[in-house]
Amino acid sequence: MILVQEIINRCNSFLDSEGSDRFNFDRDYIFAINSSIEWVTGLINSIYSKDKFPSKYLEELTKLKVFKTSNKSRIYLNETVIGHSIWNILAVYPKIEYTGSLTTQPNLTVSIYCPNAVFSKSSKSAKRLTVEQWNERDKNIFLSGSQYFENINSELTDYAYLDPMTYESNPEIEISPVVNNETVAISYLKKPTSITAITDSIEFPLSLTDLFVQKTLNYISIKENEITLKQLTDSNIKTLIQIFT
Amino acid sequence: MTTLRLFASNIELQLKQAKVDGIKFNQILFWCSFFINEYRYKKSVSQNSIGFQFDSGAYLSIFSNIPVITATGTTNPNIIAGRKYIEIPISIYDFNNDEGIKYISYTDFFKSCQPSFTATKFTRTSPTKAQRLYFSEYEKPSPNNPYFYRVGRYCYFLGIDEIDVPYLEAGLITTFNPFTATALDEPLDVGEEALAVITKQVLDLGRFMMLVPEDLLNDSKDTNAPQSVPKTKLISVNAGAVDTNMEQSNESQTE
Repeated sequence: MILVQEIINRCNSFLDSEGSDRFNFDRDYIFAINSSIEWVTGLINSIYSKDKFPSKYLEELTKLKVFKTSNKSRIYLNETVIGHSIWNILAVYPKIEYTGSLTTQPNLTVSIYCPNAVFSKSSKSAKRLTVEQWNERDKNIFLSGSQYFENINSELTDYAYLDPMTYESNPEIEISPVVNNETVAISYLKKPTSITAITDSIEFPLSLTDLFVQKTLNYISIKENEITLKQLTDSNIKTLIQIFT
Repeated sequence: MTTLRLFASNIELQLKQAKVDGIKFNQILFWCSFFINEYRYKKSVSQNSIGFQFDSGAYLSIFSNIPVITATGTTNPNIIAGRKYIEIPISIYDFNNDEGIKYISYTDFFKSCQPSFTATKFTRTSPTKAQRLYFSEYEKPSPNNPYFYRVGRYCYFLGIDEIDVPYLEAGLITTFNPFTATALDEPLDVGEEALAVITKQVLDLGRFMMLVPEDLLNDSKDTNAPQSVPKTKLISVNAGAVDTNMEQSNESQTE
């Protein structure tokens, strides 16, 4: 976690505005810092898709939660029930072992989040398929998601999942071969929360502090039309990205 | 004792050093079965230095209580009304003279506490050769001298039409199936001396598969750079795997 106050202190130092009201939290920093969070989120999205980003940088945002699937082998990641927005799905684990207790599923046609169950282990990991690959999975038994091995030797079953898609009313992940009304664990990235107060923290590791400082200064330099500061922070940001990736 | 899991896991890891997740574990198991079956087949038909065929019970599986069916109606192809037959319960090797069927015998026909295969066994014939049997009193099909002939995955019988035989026993030289529930963790049903050869054969197949550029796959991405598409025919860069034991056996046979 990076303290917002720490970023402001460092920015003030760079801007030589310590003890001055020249740059104000509500007027300047809150927008610059929130824009920086969105910018880093977008950056990580891009790098993550190339499997290059070390997950260590995202440990505050990485969650592994237990759900019970619907009778169509689907899961609705209800952000209101989970308590935060979901940025990206990292892994889907069927056939899990867990500790704690499951939540009763009142309606078997709807999946449910089980906050009191804690994932222990699983020997299965579902592969993500594209929407085009999804319907091909039963034609070739060696493709992930094929039902074939589930029927003859379930140990050889290779699970697959399809990213959230709205079939009826809510976007749902689907898992194949079917795991109807079974427990499944999902590892995902939570969306970083925007800051609202100077006492807040940014949900990224301390090692990214300088990147946030440089990006915040960069946004402030745009606002101030400060060309030198803009060029300097641009160069620093480029160097930092190269180091991190 | 090597198991299929041990064997295939090792190969998967060796292949993954070149390309993560390119080849699936189930595919490797399937490839293993190609070469294990090829090895077992060749071993079974090979001859020793003085010309005797290799005779081993290593791949023999005995199935008892195989139900004898009398077809009530005709269904083309291969099911003919009124004839007694059994369905071969498992995949077997297609040796010359149907030697994949080592024996068929009565399950309930015991003499002096002998197992059934030491008593009345069915002799192999074929639809084209069977006619001659009826001209000799000594060879004529009867309950004491029954015959079988193979038609695809069925075995039909001569000589037991007039008696009630509900079940038969069969000894079959079965093929290796890597996908059964127990196949992964049982001791691998092939001589340990074959593992080096089979490993090389499976790795060769994997390496050959990895020569196909990924960009040829339709992954819905617009990344097909023209230079990555091969212009020449892809052929394996590896020399074919050779089983030196069998080579020696064949050489001595020629001598």
